[in-house]
Amino acid sequence: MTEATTPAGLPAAAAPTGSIYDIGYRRYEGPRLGRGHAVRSLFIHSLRSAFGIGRGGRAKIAPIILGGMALLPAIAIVGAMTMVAQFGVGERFANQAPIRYETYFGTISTLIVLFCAAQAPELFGRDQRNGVIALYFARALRRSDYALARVAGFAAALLIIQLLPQLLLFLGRVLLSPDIPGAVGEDLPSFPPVLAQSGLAAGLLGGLSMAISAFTPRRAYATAGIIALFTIPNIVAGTVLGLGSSVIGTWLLLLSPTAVLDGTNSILFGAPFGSDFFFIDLPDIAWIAAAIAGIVGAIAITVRRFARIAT
Amino acid sequence: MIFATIADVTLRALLGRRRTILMLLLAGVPVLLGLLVRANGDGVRDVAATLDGIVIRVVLPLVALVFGTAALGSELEDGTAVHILTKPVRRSTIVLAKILVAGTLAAAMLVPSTILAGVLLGRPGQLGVTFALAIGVLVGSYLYVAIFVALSVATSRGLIIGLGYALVWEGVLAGLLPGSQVFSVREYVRGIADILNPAAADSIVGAGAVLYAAVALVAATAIASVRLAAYEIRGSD
Amino acid sequence: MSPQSFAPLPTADAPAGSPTAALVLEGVSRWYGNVVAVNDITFALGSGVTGLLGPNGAGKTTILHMLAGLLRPSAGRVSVGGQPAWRNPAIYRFVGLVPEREAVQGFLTGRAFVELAARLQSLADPAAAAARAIATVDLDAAADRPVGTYSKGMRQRVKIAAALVHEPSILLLDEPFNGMDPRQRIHMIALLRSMADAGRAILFSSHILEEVERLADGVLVIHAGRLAAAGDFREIRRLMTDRPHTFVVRSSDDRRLAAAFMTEPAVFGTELRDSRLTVRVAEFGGFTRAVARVARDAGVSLFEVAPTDDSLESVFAYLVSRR
Repeated sequence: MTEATTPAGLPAAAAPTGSIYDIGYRRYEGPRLGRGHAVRSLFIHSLRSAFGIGRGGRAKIAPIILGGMALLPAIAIVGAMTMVAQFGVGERFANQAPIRYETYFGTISTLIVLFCAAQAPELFGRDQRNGVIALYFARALRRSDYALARVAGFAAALLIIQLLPQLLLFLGRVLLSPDIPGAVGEDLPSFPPVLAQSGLAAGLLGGLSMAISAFTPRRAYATAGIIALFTIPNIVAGTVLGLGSSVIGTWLLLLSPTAVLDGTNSILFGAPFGSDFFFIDLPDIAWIAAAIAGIVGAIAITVRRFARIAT
Repeated sequence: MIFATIADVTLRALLGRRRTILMLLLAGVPVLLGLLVRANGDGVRDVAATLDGIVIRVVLPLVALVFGTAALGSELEDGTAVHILTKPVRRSTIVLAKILVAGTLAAAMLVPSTILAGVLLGRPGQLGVTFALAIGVLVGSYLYVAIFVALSVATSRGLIIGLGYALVWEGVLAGLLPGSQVFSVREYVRGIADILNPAAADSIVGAGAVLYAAVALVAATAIASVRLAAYEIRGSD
Repeated sequence: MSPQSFAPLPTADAPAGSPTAALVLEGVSRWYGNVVAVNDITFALGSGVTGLLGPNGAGKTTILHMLAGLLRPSAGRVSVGGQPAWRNPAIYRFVGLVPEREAVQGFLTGRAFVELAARLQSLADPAAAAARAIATVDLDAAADRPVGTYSKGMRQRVKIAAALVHEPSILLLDEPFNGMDPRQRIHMIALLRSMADAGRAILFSSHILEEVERLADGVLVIHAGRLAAAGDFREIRRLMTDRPHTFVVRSSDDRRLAAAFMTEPAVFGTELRDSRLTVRVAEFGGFTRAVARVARDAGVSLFEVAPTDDSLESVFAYLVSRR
C-alpha cells in the first residue's frame, strides 16, 4: 500500500487505497512446442536415464560396468584377431572365432538381463516414488505417450548396448582383412539378422522389465521381479525338458524370454540353437510369434497401467 | 517385551497383502515345478541338483531379499523408522527382532516348499536328500535375511548390491573362482546339507559350513547394529 | 557468540555447559558436501516454550533433527538434558520428537501406534498411558481407525500423542500446526502452554510469525542456516523496526533541508554527496512523522523519500553485527 503524498509532502486524507504493482510479469506468447516435442523429450530423457546420464555419479556405476562388460567380448576377440592376423591365419580364425555375430547375444544375454534389472526400475520407479506422474499428465503428453516414450527410451538403450559391440566386431573384422570391400560384402548379409535380433531382444527384455517396474515404486521389488521372470521359467522349463521332450516343457520354454530370444537368434542366423534344448521341434514361426506376442503384451500392459493409475 | 513389540509390528508390516501373495507365489515355484515333473513322469534323476538349481540359487535369495529389505531398509527409506529410532531401545535389539521375524517368515514359506517340491520331484528313497536340503534352506533363510538387512542399513543402494552379491558374486564368480566360495552364503547352505546327507550336495566348504554360517550371521547382525546406531536421517531442509 | 538464554526462564543465566540447560547447541554446524545447512549456531534453552522461526530451507528441521539425535553435527556439540544427543538412545526417555514429514505406518490404528510408542518406552501400563495421551490430543473418536484414513491434522495429533505418552521433560516439534484447523490450533497452543508452565522445555519450529507470537516465550530466528536473532519476541520486533535507518531524499533544496533535518532529534546524520541527500535516522517512527513537517517549515518541496536498506539481508546483517 502506498500513501498518496501531495507535493508539499503531507500525507493525503486517509481514504483506503490499494494497488496492484506491475512487477513485470508477462504472459508467454512464444511458440508452444506441443505433444510431439514432449514425447521426443521424454524419449531422450529416458534413454539418458537408462545410462545414468544426468543423475550424478552413483547412478552411472551399474550401467557403465554392465555396458562395458558387454563390450568386452568384442574387444577381446578383435584383439585376438589382430594378434592372429600377424601370423597370417586371420581369415580362418575370424570365421571360427568363438565370438561371432550369431553367438554374441548368447554371450551377453546375462548382462542384458542384469542391465534390465538394474535400470528399468529407475525409469518408472522414480516417477512413482516422487509422485510426479500427475505433473507429466498435466502436460501436452497423453497417458499412453508417457508410457510409450519411456519404454521406447529404455528399448533404445538396450539396442545401443547390443549394437555397439556388434559394430566393433564388424569394424575389427573388416579392417583386419586384406580385402576390405570384399570383407564388407561378406559381412553385409549379417546386418539384417543382427539388427532384427537386437531389436527383438530390446523390445522383449526391455518391454517386460518396464512392464514389471511400472507396477511398483520400490526399486527392490521391481528388480527382484525382473530377475525372477528372466530366470525362473528357464530353469523350470529346463528341468521338465531334462526328463524328455514334452508338450508342457515346450510351452514353458515359450514363456521364458531368454529362451525365446535364443530361439529367434538361431532362426535369424540359421545357426544351431544356442542352449541345450536342441531337440525341441517347434516351427520357426513359433519363436518369432512368441517374441512379438511378448513385446506387444508387455507394452499393452504398461500402457494400460498408466491409463488407469490414480494420481 | 520390547523385542516382542518390535517383532509384532514388523510381522504385521511384512505381511501386507500384495507382498504376501507375491512371495507365496514365488515360494510356490518349486512346488509348481514338482507338479509339472510329476505330470510328465516319475521324477528327476538328481533331486539335489534340481532343488539346488531352483530353490537355493534363485527362490531362496529372492524371497530373502524381499523380506530382508522390507524389514528395515524400506522403513529407513520412507522415514517411518524414525518412530522406532527415537525410543530408548538398543539398536541391536531392533536388528535382532527384524532379522528373526523376516528370517522366520522366509523360512516358513521356503522350507515347506522345499520339502514338498523334493517329494514331488524325487524318486522314492530320496527323501533324505530333500530333508537335508530343507535344513540348509532353513539356515539359509536367516543368513540371507541377515545379510540383506545389514546391506539395507549400510547403504541406500543395498538392494542392488544385495542382488549383485547373489547373482554376480555367488553366481558368476563362485563358478569361476572356486576359492571364493568360502565367502558365499550359498555354499554354507549347501555345506550344511552336505553334512547332513553327503548325497545332497558336494560343497568345498564341507564340515566348516556351520562355523562359517555362524560367523556370517553374527557379523551381519553386528554390522547392521553398528550402522543403525550411527544412522543419520536423510534430507532435512 | 555467547550463548543466549531467555528471561523469565529459571535458567536465564545458566552457562552453556550447565546441566540445568535442557537444550544446548555450541558452535554447531552441519553441511552436506558444499551446502551448509546450519552455520555455527550456539544457544542454550531451559524450560518454557521457544519458537524456532525462519523461512523454509533455513535449517530449522536440521537443528531439530540434531537435537533429536538423528543427525550428527559436522562441527560443534549438541547436548540434551546434559547428555550428548548423538548415538545416545537413552535420551529418548525424557525427549519426545514430533517430526513433520515422517509418516506413520498406515495400517496401524491411532491407538496401536501410541501404544507401540508406550511399549517401546517400557512404560508400566502402556494401554492406560496411551489412552491418556490420546485424550490429551482429543483423538478419542478416531483412535481405533487406521492412521491411513486420517486427515493431516489428525496425523499430526497422533504423532504428538505418541511423543507425549512417556511424559517427556523435553519436547521437540517440527511445524506442529501444519494442517491443523483453528480450533485444533487453539487447543494445541493451550496444551503446549500448560506443559511449559509445568516446567518442560519445548522447542517448536514454524515459518508463521503469528503462531510463534502467540505461543512462544522466546524465539530463535534462523535465516540461511545462521542465527539471526535470539531472545524475547517483542524485543526483537522492536529492534527490527527501531534499528538505524537510512533514507534517500530528493527535494527542491537539499542543503537547506539537510540543515533543517539536523535539528530533529530523530536524525543523527546527513550526507550530501553527488547531489544526493542521505539521512541517517535513529528512530524510524519519529522521523517519518517529522519529515513532512520539517520540509514544510523549511519551505522545501519534497519529491521523494525512500528507505535504502529495507531488505531482510540488511536487517539480518544489523542483528548479527550487534552481538
